[in-house]
Formats: sequence, C-alpha cells, structure tokens
Amino acid sequence: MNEWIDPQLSVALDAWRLSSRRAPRRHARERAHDAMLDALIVAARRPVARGFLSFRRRFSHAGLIASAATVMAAAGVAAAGWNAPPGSALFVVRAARQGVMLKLPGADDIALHLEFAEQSLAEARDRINPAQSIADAANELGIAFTELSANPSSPLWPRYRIDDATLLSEETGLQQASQPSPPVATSPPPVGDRTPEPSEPVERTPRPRSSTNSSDPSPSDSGGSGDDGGGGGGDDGGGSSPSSSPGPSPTPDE
Amino acid sequence: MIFDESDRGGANLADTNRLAQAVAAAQRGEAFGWSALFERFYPDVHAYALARLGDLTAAEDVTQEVFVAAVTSIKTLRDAREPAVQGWFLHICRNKAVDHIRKGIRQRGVAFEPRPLDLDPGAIAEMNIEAGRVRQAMVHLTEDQRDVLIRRFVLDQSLEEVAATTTRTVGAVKSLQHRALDAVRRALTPKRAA
Repeated sequence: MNEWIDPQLSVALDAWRLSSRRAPRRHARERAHDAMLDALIVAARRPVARGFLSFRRRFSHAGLIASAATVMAAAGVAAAGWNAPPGSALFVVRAARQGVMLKLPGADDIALHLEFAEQSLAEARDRINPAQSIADAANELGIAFTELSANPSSPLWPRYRIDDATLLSEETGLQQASQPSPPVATSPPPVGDRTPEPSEPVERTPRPRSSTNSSDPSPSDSGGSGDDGGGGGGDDGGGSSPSSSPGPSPTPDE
Repeated sequence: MIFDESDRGGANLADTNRLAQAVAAAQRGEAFGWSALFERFYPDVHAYALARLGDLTAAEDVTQEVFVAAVTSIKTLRDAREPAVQGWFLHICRNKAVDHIRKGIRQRGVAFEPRPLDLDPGAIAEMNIEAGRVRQAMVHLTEDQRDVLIRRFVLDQSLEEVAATTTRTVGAVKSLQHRALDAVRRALTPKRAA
C-alpha cells in the first residue's frame, strides 16, 4: 500500500481483513459446490430450448424481412403494371386491377367499361400494340353496349357513341396500315377501277356484341319514331358490322 | 483458522494455461472445469462477501449465489487470465452482495463459528469489535469505494490489479482509496474519542 495510513486505522483495517478472510465452513462450501453443479445440469438442458427459441427468433426476423420484401415487390409490380400496355408481361396486373374495380361495391360498370375502352383506344392511337388495343376496346365497348341496352335512358349513351365512332376510325386506320401499299402504276388505271377512299366504309372486324345489333335500345331509337322497326342495323351499309349498329340509329329528325 | 495464501484450493490452477483450460471447460459446461474454478476462487469470493456483509451465513449464501449465477453467464467471460477471471467473480459477488443488502435479508447472526487456533479468545473478540466498527464506518462510503477497500485490504490486490479488474486507471483507484480511507477515519474517530 502506497498510502500512509493512520496506525489506529491500520489496526482496524487489519482486524477487518482477518475477520473477513476466515476459512469458509466445510458444509457451506460443499453446499455451494453442489448448487453450482445442479445449476450446471439445468443449464445443460437449457440450450435445446434456447436453441429452439433463438431459431424461432431468427426465423421470425427472416419472416419479417421476407414479408416486407414481398409487400414491397408486390407494390412495385402493382405500380409498374397499373397501366401496363397490352402485350406486356405486366398486362395481367392491369387486367386484374380492372377486374377488381368492376367488382368493387357501388362501381358503375358501364362507365368503367367505357373508361377501359377509352384507355385502349388511346393506346391504339399511340400505336401501342394497336391490334390488341383495338380488340380490347371493342370487347369493352361490347360489354358496355350490352349493359347499356338495359338502360335506354342512360346518360352514357353519347359517350358510348363517341367511343364507338373512335373505334371505327381506329379500326379503319389499322386496316389501311396493314394493307400492302399499291404498286407504282406505270399507266393510269382503267376507268372504273379505283382504290377505295379512306372515308369509305371498310369491312370491320366483328365484335362480340354483334348479337345485340338489332336490339339497339338507344334513346334515339326508342324515342317514338319507330319507323326503323329496330332494323336500323341494316341501313348503314355495314349491316354485317355490329359495331356500327348503335351509331346510325335514326334520330327523331329523321 | 485464518485463510492462508498457500492454502488456495485451486493452487493447481496457478499456471495460466491450466486456468485457461478450466475456463474453456467451464464454458463447454464440463463439471471438472467448474470444480477447478470453484476450488480456486471460492475463498476470494467468500472473503469479499464476508468483508462486505460482515455475517458468515449471509456471506456463504451470497457466495453460493455467485457460483450459481456464474454458471449461466460464463459465456460472457472473454479473458481467461487470472485477474480477469477473479475480477469477473468478484464483480458478480459485489452485485449479489448489494442485492442481498437491498432485499433486507436479516442477518442470521453467526458472527464467527470455528475459532482460529492461533489466536486467543481475547484477541478474537477485540478483532471482531474493530472489524465491526470498520463495517459500520463503510456505510458512509459509495459502493465503488467499498469495492476498492475490500480488494485492497481484504484481498490484498495491488493498485494495478484493482485498476485492471475494475477498468479504472491506477490514479482513479488511488483517489477512490484515499477518499474511502478518509471517510472511514472520520467515521471511526468520534467513536474512539467517545
């Protein structure tokens, strides 16, 4: 000890030291030894449970991470496929989203089908897989027409007609684009032999709603004129084309 | 029978390698490793507890608790050198002694049981009185100051050993010891004067 200590304090500390450094009693020592070995036996059994628990803990962490990763991946796929163009790998996400929107309670199915058709028409206009886009739009418009037929006074009829006219023009444009360009004529074509004008009606791809042609219940049809007799589908020169059926329905002026 | 330095039960662990082997065996849960550690450190832990508590039975209980607790926490022991292992046991003992005091366990009174053969009864009585006064005076100390005094004056550790096992500098240990002795001296003086 480096510090000088008061002699009286030193005596007291020595007494404290001697009284504390007594040999422990034998039975207490043996009891402590036995208790220690008992604890050792208990601890030897514990690793199984602890290992299981630690496995569970690790697994739960891994599960949490995997769950978070799955949720993030799902969110990423949903975001990427929300408006995926037709033909893309994520188009199924868009189709699923549209299906869910239609199944939601309170959803206006007709408006939604028109909205989906308009989206497909916009894609066709932008030349994004136009054939598929037009087919999708025709399908959606067909379903919308079927549902509109049950509601002649629906305010969605004008919108439907606009979309149907747009579909017609897109189909025409697609057909023209798919036709091979005519060979360069060295001599004028013979009289009476002419290529069809773009404005002329072109035979169109049949649409699913062809069966509803003759029952166009649009307000303009059922407005009381009745002179068409429901057979308006045949007077537009495109009677075989169901897509044009609601369009040319006679107006009251006629 | 006063504890003799040469009587340390774990004298066979004096070799550093043997102590390291005992620690490694204890960490693997092997009984012989624990027995070796018990033989080596039981006297020190017992002395620490007795110096702190002043009651033989309580010291024995606390010493037993220390070794039971050590079984479950031996994995945390990284350094197998003797000062570190001893410091680890004493650290557990310190905490157990504090717990014991806090729990308010009644001291069950066996002050001294077997009388040392080399001291006469009068000397023993006088020693007990003096030791009791020191323990009373230590009430005024902080736990760190008590810890340093026990290590220095009961376990005969050097300043460097205390510093190493308590993760303090030698200067800090000196300072703690100085303040502790000063407080004990002040506490003892009026009693002597009276």
